[in-house]
Amino acid sequence: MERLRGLEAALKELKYDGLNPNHYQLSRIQGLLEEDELVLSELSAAEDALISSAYLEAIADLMLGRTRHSSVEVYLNYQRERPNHFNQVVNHAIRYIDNPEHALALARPQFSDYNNLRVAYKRLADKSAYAVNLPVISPDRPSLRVGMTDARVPLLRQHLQQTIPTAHADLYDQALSDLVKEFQSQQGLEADGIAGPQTIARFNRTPEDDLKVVKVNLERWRRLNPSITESRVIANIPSATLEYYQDNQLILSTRTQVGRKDRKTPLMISEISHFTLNPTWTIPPTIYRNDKLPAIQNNPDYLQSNRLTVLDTQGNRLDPELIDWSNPGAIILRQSAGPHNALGQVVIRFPNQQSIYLHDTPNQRLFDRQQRFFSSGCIRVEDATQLVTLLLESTQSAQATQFDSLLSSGVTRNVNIADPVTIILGYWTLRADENGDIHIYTDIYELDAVLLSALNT
Amino acid sequence: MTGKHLYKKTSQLILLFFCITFILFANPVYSSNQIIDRHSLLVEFLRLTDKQPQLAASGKTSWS
Repeated sequence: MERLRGLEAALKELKYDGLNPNHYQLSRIQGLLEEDELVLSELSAAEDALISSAYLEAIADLMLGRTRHSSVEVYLNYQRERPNHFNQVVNHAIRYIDNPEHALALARPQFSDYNNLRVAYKRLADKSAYAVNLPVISPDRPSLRVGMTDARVPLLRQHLQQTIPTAHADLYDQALSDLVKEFQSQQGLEADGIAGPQTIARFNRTPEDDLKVVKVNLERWRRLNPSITESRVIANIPSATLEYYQDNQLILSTRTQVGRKDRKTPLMISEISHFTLNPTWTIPPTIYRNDKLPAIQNNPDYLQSNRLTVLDTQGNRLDPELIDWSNPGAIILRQSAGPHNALGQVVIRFPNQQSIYLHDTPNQRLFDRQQRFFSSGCIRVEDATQLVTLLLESTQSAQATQFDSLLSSGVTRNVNIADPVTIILGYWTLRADENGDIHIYTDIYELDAVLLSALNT
Repeated sequence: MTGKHLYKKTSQLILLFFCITFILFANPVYSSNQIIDRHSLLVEFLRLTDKQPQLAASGKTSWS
């Protein structure tokens, strides 16, 4: 009976994982525990099997995600080893059969990002129970700027808990703009102090809205849990940031530029295998067709100013003057190596069929933007050379000590990593710190609602 | 349909079959063929716990 009470307690805790405890027979178990001891000591085989099944399902959902078989938000997986998750769940259930509370606690993803989200879920659930109903602000234009008067300004002051002045209550003044700027910065928005539709939509969010996003992101961690290794590079698309963990310790955190909405960075799991130093850039067909060809047609000097050479499909150099650019046929454009190259000084490569890689960029200014959805799918990394140095050093790769000289030589060459490191191009729209304070990122590819719906079915 | 046409059509079908098989099985992208549902988990759990007499005898496999 103690084990059944332990299971009851563990199942109740699942609400902070954004899971519904009643999906795991909680009500039935609570009903049984209210019966007298004689009934409990003589559970039918069917009752027993039902509880075991709930116990196993809870473990599987915590270890692998409840929507693990769903067709939404599927990752392309190029990891070489695929452990047998089915056996892992059953063995875990048997190993901790004495102590169901322990079994469920250890089935959860064991890293701080997940734990912090659980803390945030608890906090938001309490907050939503006692939430003060703040007025909804109309997101209609015009956007609010310093000097404007608008009936929405007093509502905005209420949201920011700013005392409403007796005179000029409708005036969007500098002090209010500064508070909006601070709010935008916390929310990962462009901190310009202008209250536009996107900023106002964030003001209108309720704790219930945030709870839904926490719920979706908890599920994302659970689904990726089996692929997360102690050493890993995780690039989060919505926050446009990248982190490198070695033995579960954060070694590097840097900013990135990721795929824009119409040229998405694919969700992917792979293993970093090698680097290209001083790379040349062979323009991919989509970029050639959509960006480069129109640019060449509009500007005859484009090829020269961007140091692009024209090749035929055999790799032979062609004279651009002899090409009819209104119908150039099968040609390849290649940008020479050097500081002007779009891939910068290094490319970080991992097996995939989508020709996706991480790379350095000469366009560093764009890293200062809050929203960094600029690329055609590949990921530009702010500290790319530092990341390569750390990866070579931590894996004790042969070229670690020669890296600087190889880089400064200007010669294009590939360098292998001694021990491949897991890379995850992932998607999390919310992050929490250890106190449960949340930071929301723009759901640029609009995936939250789809996963939430899969989770609720 | 002449014999030649029939031969050509059959060859095309065989080629198509091999292409589809290749795409389905040679593609390294993860396919969720490892179904982990409550029914199969329970069957395996009961099978394994039954195979461990000391576990069954301890009563730990029952929730009573």
